[in-house]
Order: sequence, then structure tokens, then C-alpha cells
Amino acid sequence: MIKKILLITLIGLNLIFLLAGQKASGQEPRGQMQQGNLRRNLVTLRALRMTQVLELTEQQTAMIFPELNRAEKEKAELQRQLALEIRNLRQKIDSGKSTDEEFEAGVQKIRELRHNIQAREQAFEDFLFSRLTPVQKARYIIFSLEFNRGLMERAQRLRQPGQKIK
Amino acid sequence: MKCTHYQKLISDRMDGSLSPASQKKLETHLKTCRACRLYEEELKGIEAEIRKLPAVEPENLAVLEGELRERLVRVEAEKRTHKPRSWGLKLAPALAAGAFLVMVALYLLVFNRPAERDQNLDLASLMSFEDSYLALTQTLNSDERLNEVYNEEILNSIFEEVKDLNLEELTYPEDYQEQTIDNDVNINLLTEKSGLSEGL
Repeated sequence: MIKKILLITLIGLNLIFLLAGQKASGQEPRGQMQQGNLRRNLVTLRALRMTQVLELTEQQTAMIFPELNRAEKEKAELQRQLALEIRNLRQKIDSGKSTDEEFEAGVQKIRELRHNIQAREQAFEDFLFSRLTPVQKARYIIFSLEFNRGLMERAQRLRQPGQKIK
Repeated sequence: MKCTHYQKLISDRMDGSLSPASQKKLETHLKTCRACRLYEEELKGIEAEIRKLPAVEPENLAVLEGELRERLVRVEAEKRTHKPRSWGLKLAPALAAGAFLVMVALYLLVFNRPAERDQNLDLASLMSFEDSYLALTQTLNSDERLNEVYNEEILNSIFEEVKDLNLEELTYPEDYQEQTIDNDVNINLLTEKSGLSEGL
């Protein structure tokens, strides 16, 4: 039963990204689409591993994953906007033609988006922690650290000069 | 032989337990050693003083024994409190200062190197998936091929997880199967049709 709940949720997550990807495909470059795919896959992997690490009960899974879905939908959109704003800011700096007001507006927008992302992430964690046992909360903290560190280390490993990229 | 040995012989002679041969050696030594002669005179003086003391009655022996035991306990306690400082204690301030310097050096070497400082900052952001994701995408954006390879690795990890979950009996909507095409991987994540078994 847990597997079914998990799977339905993961399919839901991926559908969200599919729709986001279709929406974005007409207006965003290939790199943006790739980022959408990457995020979808990262979130799927994270959800799969988190379920195993926390050993969620059916009841917990049924409560947590719909909220995870909602949070992810909102955060994915915010991250997409943030990536666009960062790209715009880079372009403004490179062009050397932007005014102080334009820089200020760009910076403000980025700060606002970051704040919203963090707030949404925090809100989900608050919700999650209200449904977990102390041991599960402890596992979640360690899991998050290790998973996120693994993401960065994987990127660093692939960037090493000796690493063959096909 | 040293004087300490002859002083023991002096004590034995006063007790009447010295052999004739040892007594002869002692006599020879005393003729030439003033310190031992003084030691013998001192012992004889103590013995004379003791002999002047009144004899102890048998019934007072128990009291005397009790007093002696109490004194012994006090002496032992005083010894413990006035124990001479060992080399370790004498060197304690120097050792503490050395340890402090080592700790400062370790801090500077291990925790305060610029590269490590960056990693410590990462640790704070590693608590957040969103912060990590943002840092990751900024890294991967600079290299499209790296981005693709990275994504493929993540997909492979998902395959491994799904294989462990043994989900093959479930079915999936068509549009979910289509979405993976974006990854240039002509397989579907979670179905047997995907060729997952061959891929792994």
C-alpha cells in the first residue's frame, strides 16, 4: 500500500514537472528544460530514498506525500523564476548598460524569490516534523545532509579533469 | 660497604643479634668512621631514655594500640594531602600551554583554511535541499554536457531504487511514460517496457 501511495505521488510529481516543462518549452532555452528534468529526477530520487530512510508508516505516507507534492510544485516554479532572474542579472552585469535602479530591482526580486523558496521549504519541514517521531526527525536531518552533500560531490567528481564525460 | 649497612649492624648489636664476624667488621669500621660513631651514640641515648620510662601495664596496651592506630591513620592522611608533586604535576603548566598551542595550530590548519571555510559554508546550505539545488544548478549550467551526464547518473540511481522497491506489477499513465524522453533516455523509469532490466 505504501508503494502505491508513493508511486502515485511520484507520478504526480513528475506530471507537475512535465506540465511545467511543456509550458516552458516554448519560451525557454534547452538548458532551462534540462534543469526542469534534472529537478524532477532529483526530487523523485529524494522522495524514494527519504521514504526508505524514514521507514514511514502507511498513515504517515498518506499524509506527508500529498503535502510534499504541493510544496514541490510551488518550489519548482519559484526555482524556475529564480534561475531566470539570476540569468537576467548576469546579462545586466555583462552588458554594462543597466542602471542602478535596474540592478536594484533585479537584486530585490532574487532576494524575494530566495526568501519565498526558503519559507516554503521551512513550511513543509514544519509540517513533516509534526508527523514524524523523534527518531524519524533525527534520521531526516542526517538524510538531508547526506543526500544534499552527495549531490554536490557527484557534480565535483564529474567535473574532475580525469573524469570521462561521454 | 656503605655506612647505611654498618648503621644496621649497629642496631643489630644493640639488640644482641650480631654475629661475631660482623661485630669485628663493625668495630673496624667504627674506628675510621665518625658519622657511624655518632649514630651509635645517638641510638644509645634514645635507648637510655626509653629505659627511664615507666613500664606499660598490660591493661593499657589496648589503649596504646588504639592511639597508635589513630596516629597512623592521621599520618597516612597527611601523607596523602602533602604528597610530593610528581614530574607530571610539575610540568602541568607547561603541558597545558603546549596543548593550547597545539589546539590553536590545529584550528588554524584544519578549520581555518580558505578552502575548508568554503566547505563549512556549504555545510550550512547542505541542510537545505533548495539551497543545494540552487548551488548545483549554477555549477551544472556552465557545462551542458556535464548537466546531461549528471542527469543520467541521477536516473540510474532512481532505477536502482525502483528495482529495490519491486514495483513492476503497477501500471502507469501514458503521459508519465512520455516525459522521460526529454532526458534522451529511450526508456521509461518505472515499467518493464522500459527495458529497465536490460539497462541495469
